[in-house]
Amino acid sequence: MSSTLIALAAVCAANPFRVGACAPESAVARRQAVVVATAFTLFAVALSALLSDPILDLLNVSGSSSRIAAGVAVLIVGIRDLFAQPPSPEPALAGLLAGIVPMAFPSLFTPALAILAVSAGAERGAVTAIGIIGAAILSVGLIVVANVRGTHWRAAAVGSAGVVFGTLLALNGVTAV
Amino acid sequence: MAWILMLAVVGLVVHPENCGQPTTAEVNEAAGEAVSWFGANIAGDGTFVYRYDRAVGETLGGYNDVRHAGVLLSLYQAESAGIEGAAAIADRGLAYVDEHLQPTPIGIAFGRGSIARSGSVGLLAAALDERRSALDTDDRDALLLELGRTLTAVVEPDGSVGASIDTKTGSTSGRSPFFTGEVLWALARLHLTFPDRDFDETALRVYRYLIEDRDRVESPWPPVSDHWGAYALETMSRWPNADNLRLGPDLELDGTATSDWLRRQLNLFGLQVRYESQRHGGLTRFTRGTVALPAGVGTLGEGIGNHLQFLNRFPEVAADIDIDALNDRARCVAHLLVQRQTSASQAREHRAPLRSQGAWFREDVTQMDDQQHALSALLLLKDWMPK
Repeated sequence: MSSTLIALAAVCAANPFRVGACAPESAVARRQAVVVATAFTLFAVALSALLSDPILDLLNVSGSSSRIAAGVAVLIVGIRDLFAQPPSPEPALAGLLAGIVPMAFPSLFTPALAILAVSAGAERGAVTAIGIIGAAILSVGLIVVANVRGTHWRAAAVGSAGVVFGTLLALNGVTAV
Repeated sequence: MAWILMLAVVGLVVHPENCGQPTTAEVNEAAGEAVSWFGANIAGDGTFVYRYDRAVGETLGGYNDVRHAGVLLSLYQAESAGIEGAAAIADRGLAYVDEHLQPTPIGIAFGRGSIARSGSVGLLAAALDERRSALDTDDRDALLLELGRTLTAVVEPDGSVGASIDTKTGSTSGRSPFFTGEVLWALARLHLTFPDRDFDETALRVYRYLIEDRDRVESPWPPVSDHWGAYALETMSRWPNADNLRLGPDLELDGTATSDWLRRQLNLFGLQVRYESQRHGGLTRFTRGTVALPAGVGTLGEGIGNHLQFLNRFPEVAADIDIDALNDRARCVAHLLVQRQTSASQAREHRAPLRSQGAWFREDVTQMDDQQHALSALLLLKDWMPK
């Protein structure tokens, strides 16, 4: 599982245009919400990566098979993003907590990102996984702050990339030892 | 809700793997039980019980000479590994071999009727060579060399291997997904035992064909996970000129041909082990099917065990292979075999306990090569288990 594939899959799993679609309208609130959402997601990803070995041991899943799981999860998210409308900013928690709901959860920290973090943590080590996925999340955050609005076709384009990279990731797991 | 749906779908795709880490002692014990099964299920003419259905308590008939030779091989391997009495059982099985050796225009063959299989000749040669080292005897060397002559003759100029030998004319025909590796392994062993007889020249021709052309020419899909090829590669890595396997100057091989083939093989073995370990019965019967034939599971262990030994000797051939993962698969196969073997108490629940104890069944039926491959795998894998 190469670093590039992990990073690309992570960006697709946390589709920036879907996240942007549920961000607050005002620039200040948006920036604050992105900081909160990114911090929350980084924490959750770090926790997933750090706990990857015990999680996989608990589930009796090998690192190679976890790649398939991550690939399938990214693929499913990609298919959803390809066809579903981006989410709405409402309902949202008040103030800074809007960065938690709906931005971080459920838009940024998707199940696909969680499974990807666990798989990458087991396969590449927690520090490397956190570094790669963390960089991807920061990139997503910057795109959201830049307020490239979440038009459906942009989210769908990332979704189609998710289908490709999810498939590649799953195949990577299938052909692993 | 999205999380639950997602995890449900992912759970359908990736199941928990039933993998443990049996100890060397547990693996040895399981191997000993398998040897005992052969001892309890050999007839006066040297044949073994071929198929047995424990649900009805009856043998199902049929016999296969290639598998007979394979059983003898596994028993001599057991003797080499220190399981006393295994060779004595196999020697009783040689009575059947002696009855069915046939002269042909290309050399001695082993089999019944007018068509002998090159696979039975190859496995018999491997078995007798194993016997030679296990018992430190050369009393069958003349036969071994005769079998080597036959094996050399079934190899075509391009390295492909004729599967069937017409015992009257000596002509060969057909191909088999496994005979190529069996013949290659036998030739590789013969070169180690008789280094002055030029068996290596033919072996290298088959080797080149096996790793470069075989899958493309004979079986484009699905590719063969070739445990016999794994045996052959491991044996060739003990040749004095084993460096040729890596660089292949005499074969005009691409420098990465061995690495590429090895990587493909390990991926196949690894995937199959992971898939098999996800079969737990219950609901997984619908998502993964019933468990594989025990012989099939055994071949996975044979393939991985041999490749681990090869990589232990030449790690640079596949430096990018995840050895830790490969070790995990080895332990997983051993675990599946130990767990699925019929214990004494389970055997007592059936009509003829000696037909069942130490055997591996799928849907109440066992076949002698189930025990053969499982035994060989356990012997290969035991050194990779935690002490």
